[in-house]
Amino acid sequence: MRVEVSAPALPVAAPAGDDRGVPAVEVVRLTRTFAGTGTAVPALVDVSFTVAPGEFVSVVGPSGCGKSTLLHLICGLLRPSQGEVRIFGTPAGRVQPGRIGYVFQRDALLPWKTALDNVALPLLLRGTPPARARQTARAWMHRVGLAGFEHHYPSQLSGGMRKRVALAMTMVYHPALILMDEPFAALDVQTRNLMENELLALWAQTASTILFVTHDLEEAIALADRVVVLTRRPGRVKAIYTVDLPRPRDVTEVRGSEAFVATYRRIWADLRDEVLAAHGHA
Amino acid sequence: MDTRRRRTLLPLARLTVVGTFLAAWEAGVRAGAIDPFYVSAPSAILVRAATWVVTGDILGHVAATLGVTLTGLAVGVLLGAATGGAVAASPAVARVVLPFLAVGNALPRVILYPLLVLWLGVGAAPRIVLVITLVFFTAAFNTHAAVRAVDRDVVHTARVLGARRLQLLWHVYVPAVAVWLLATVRVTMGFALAGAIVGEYVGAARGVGVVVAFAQSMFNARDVMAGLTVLLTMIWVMDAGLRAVERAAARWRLVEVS
Repeated sequence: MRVEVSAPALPVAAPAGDDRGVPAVEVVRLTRTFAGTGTAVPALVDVSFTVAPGEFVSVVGPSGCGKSTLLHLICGLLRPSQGEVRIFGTPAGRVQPGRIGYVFQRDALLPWKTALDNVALPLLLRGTPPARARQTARAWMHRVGLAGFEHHYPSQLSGGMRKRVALAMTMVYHPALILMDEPFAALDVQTRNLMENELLALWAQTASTILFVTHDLEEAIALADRVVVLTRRPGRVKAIYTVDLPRPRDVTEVRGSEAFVATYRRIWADLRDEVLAAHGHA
Repeated sequence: MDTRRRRTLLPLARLTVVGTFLAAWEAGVRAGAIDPFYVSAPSAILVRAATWVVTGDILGHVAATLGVTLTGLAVGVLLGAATGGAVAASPAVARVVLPFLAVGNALPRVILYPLLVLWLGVGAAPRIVLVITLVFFTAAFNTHAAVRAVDRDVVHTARVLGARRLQLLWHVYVPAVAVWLLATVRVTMGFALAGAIVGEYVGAARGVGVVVAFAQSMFNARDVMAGLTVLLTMIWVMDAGLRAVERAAARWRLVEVS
């Protein structure tokens, strides 16, 4: 069961009205090179895959394989050297800002705003009246389990709590596509599993599409419908796997199941070669 | 030492230092070891200062000095912040303006005062302009540094969340720079007051500096010292006010420290 580019395992939640039938993300023969000293250094070469609306797709690869570059290209912060990216049919870079959410590894909350005001910010930026923005934000604080912490500043919150604020801040404006760049990498294992479960619960409620970048294969499998494996630098698509695990999932329990272990073994066989090669053990 | 003990002991220790100094001075004068002609005595100075306040003689002078100081401080910090912000926002502006800022900052602006009087007359205007020149450069450099120190990831986040240019300015840059700006005001307040006093010293109708200069010309050490006491009180009150503003405006930062 190697490379199979289309058809997600789960034809999940309905796409938002006008997007019906159009892939959430289309990455077509994408290549990105960076200007090095004298020569151009390729970061990604000929990468193609699609993500269906409502799908949860993980991207794994050895460190330095261009995972973050891929997300930057998708959200339009970088321009492709060759190939193209389309978000719900619109070329990346011309997508309205409100359609894409981005959760970073570092939760870069605004330190001078309370948790509540951070969550309300994206609504304010869209012209929602402050009272209504705060009301919606309060509901989201509740949803991510932070009721009672509305008036705390980010510096007064734990790493896990800040991550919840960052999630609420992203989901509050209902972006159709959420990009996540190793969002839970800095958390301890227990907090991390908790957050992964909450992410799945929120995703199930909101019907948004998630593209989740991680270097942790277990996390990638536990969360996703499909896993895209990238090769070592310069990143190419090595294979795309469908994860046949039932939903709703509990990320800690699912790891013990036979199906999970089998999937893990299969993908790890591919990934291991790349990780070893990336460290010069080819 | 835990914080609570420090909170009660620290003011006590400071009071002890001041009290011991004043008591030794007073005792020295009374014992005849110190000539009051040169330094007067704490009791006499306090009585003099209190009389000024009670009769209201000093209030007009305090108001004049305060008016020049605060006007110059406010205008200087705002102009400096605008310049520093422009320099940080545009590399082209930075290349043109930065060398002038550096030279201006190094120039001892106090020597400009006689020229300012020549151009602007002997009213409050030349003193306000002097204070502005003393405050402006520090404010510009600090704002420049503050804008450059803004967390790139925070900017990035706000952008992704949909912030446009003005919104980015209002939600990210202004709060980030405000903290530095308040610190700048506290630092430059001393410059501002010094500028106002120097101007009054050289020539003005009203101001605490005028009172001190007059007392000095009469070899009246008591009145000079009483004038300094008034100045010290003004500085203390302004600094306490600014600290309160800082606490209110930068609560997010202070909770991080404690």
